[in-house]
Amino acid sequence: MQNKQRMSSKASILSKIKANKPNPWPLPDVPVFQTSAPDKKKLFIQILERGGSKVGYVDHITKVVDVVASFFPDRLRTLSTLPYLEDTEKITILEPEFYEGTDVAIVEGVLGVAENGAIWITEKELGGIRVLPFITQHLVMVVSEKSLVGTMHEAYKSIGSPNTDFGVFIAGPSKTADIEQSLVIGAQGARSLLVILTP
Amino acid sequence: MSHAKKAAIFNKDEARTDWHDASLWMVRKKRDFAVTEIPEWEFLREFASDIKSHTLSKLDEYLESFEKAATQNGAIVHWATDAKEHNDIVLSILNKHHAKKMVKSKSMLTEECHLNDFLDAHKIEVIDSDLGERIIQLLDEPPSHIVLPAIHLKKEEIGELFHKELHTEKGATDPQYLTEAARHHLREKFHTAQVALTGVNFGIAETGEVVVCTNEGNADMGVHLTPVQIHSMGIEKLIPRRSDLAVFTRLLARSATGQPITVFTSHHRKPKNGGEMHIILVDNGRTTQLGKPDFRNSLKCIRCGACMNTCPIYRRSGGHSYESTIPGPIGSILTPGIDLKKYGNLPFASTLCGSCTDVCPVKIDIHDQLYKWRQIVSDAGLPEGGNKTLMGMLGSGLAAPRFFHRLGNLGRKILRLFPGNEKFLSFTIWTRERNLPKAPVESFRDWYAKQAKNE
Amino acid sequence: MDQFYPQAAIATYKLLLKLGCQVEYPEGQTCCGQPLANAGNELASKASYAHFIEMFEKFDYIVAPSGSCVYHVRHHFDLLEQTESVKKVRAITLDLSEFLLDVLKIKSLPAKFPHKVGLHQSCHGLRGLHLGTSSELALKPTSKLHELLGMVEGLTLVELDRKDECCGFGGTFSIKEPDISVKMGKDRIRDHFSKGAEIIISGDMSCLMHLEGIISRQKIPIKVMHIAEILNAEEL
Repeated sequence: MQNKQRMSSKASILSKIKANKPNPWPLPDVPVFQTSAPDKKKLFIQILERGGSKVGYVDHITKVVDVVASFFPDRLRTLSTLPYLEDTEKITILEPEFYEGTDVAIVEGVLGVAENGAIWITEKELGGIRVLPFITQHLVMVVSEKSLVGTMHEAYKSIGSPNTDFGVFIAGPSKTADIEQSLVIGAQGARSLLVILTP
Repeated sequence: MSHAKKAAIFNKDEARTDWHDASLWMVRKKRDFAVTEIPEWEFLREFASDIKSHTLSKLDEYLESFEKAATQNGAIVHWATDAKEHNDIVLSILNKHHAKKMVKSKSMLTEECHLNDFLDAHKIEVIDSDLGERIIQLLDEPPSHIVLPAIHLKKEEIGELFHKELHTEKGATDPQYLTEAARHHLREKFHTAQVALTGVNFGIAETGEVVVCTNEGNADMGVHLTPVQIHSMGIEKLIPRRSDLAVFTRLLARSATGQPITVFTSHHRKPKNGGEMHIILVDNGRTTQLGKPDFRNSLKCIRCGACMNTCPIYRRSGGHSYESTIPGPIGSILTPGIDLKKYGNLPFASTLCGSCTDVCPVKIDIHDQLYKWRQIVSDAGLPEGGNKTLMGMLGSGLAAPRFFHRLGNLGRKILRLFPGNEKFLSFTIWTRERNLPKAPVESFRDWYAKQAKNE
Repeated sequence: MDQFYPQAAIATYKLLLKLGCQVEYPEGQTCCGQPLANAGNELASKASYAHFIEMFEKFDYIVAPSGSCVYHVRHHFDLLEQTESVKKVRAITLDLSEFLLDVLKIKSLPAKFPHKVGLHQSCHGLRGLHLGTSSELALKPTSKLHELLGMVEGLTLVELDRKDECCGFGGTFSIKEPDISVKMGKDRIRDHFSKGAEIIISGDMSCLMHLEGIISRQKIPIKVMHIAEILNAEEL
């Protein structure tokens, strides 16, 4: 009974559209715009810092843990999906609620976008825990400089067709200005974002 | 109450009007700065407009592609012809899972459908998880802006509310402190809710994904912690290809708040392991608007709110004075199509300055549509359109030289009889706060005639 | 303008003569019909559209010192059947600044006006006729009015906080929503006055009439003048 009802709503909506839609309008070919900034890394860092993120740089991934330690000396529960960080908790439980109470989560971004500081990350890099970058108190994202692109056009071109169940661009710590337009860093998601750039 | 009456009340507190105006002008200025960072901005607007126009011209095909892809991904797609059907579908999903508690992230569509009230009546607890939305939910008020729902409230008022509802300290107004309190309050809700619902910024026809943009991370906190997630989407939110998101993600946040991108741009494609993902495609008058050649462009809207931030009338009257779910310039061209009698006064709440059209990231011809709605309102004989007979007479008078000149001369001569014309006629609407123009001895016509004589 | 601000029309007429034009003022003219049309009654104003065409079709150019009227003729006379006369009139109706810069292509003016002024860019002129680049658009900034004012000796232009916010007149809006209308006008005046402008100038008399109404009621020591008067000013 419900199925039939849904079919007729669908049919009714589609037939109304067919009757009312305008004449065909061509779909434009959008060029892959590139950034006019000469130094992508510089722009990426500038935009991230402007948006309230902190940026660190290591010349080798083994130094990542040192940078994290220096930014979060008092951290308690530290989780990581990075295989080369041995001293951290790993993803074993698949129930998302289990990760409430995570102090610091260290994950690896797929690519970074210079024009807006956004970093693309998917379920794969999150160990299957979609809520991880939101539920943690502090987020650390490791991104390689090589992966940096200039614009969102280049980012989507690089990402290509979706082959993951969930993906997100993260461009800073969670924030809100809903109270008299005063910016507050740390709303419902992570209170801070530390981006560590690797070569 | 008409917009004019509500705006009059709003303007009684001039200091507050100035504050509201300045707050929103600030957002407009941030937008202006953000725009300078993209040299190809005007090209992007054109592309965005064309992508949306194309999509609307093939909306049926794209909706079917979207449904096919989403279903293949494991999502369950529903179709709702109107608000009632949408609400019924949400309730049926909740009932199926015996859910009594739902968290909801920002969705103007669900505001339009009055979902909260409906679920309330069915004893479902709905928690709006966006901070601004939560504030107005606790105040039992509608949002006054589609992006900044609580822009009309001062921090003292929010502090008082939180003291009452969240037990924060009395008199506390620090936004950091208040946001922290809300964070703890909402965290508990995210963990105890059984279903999460979000709006949809963009639906991708090619991949069946829904894209949700937030700054707070509340939409994600909601959907990733509950086994059942629902995404309510207006059918006009579809775009053809994933790559088209590049255009829209570069335009949306810059237009809305001046940020280069929202903090989170989530792409939901498949349900989580062991979870359910529902997408509700909603019509609720959109297909009717699609059939109106003069007004269908309003369906390109990506709900950025830039038109509200730039509108000098919106800034000085506030969203509530429109009494429509979507206020401001875009609201004034969307709502008369829904209820001409109720919203017919809104197209007149404008000077047709055109600023809205210039900031719209998808190039909706807002001020042209306002002008066109005015013609329809007056053709329908509604009061805002003026008395048709009188207008007809005026029209003929304006075309008749002798009548026109005699009327003008008479007006000028009458005014000349009252030298200090400040208080004279102060009972008319114009002269309540303005003087009438000074009446010169000679009209241009008189002067010109004299010139001709002298030659 | 004929009845209440003849000085603006006189200045326009004199300026055009000065620049070598043969100028005629058809005395049978009435109104472009904009006030009624904006109020939602464009059908009622069709008669005045037709009268306008009749009055003006024989000329080479139709110049109006009024951005809003010119905008209305060029954009909303599509309501009429597009005969050759109608098409011609719509194409040759120009704002004074357009005529001076695009047709006469003047590069200088014998104008002197040693005063501090504020320029109010009317919405119809700026966003309607694109006499300049509105602040919303990400385009190379141009402005016909600024270009013309630059030719006036001794003139100083103040820098406003809001370069192109609407004055709040909006035709019938001024009486349909008087509170916001007046508030917008007050805010504009305050912007100009606080920057030290002695005079607010504009290419649209309707904006100035509205602002002047507030100025004289509130006794603010600032004047209004039409740009034609400035461009025609040789001494003050």
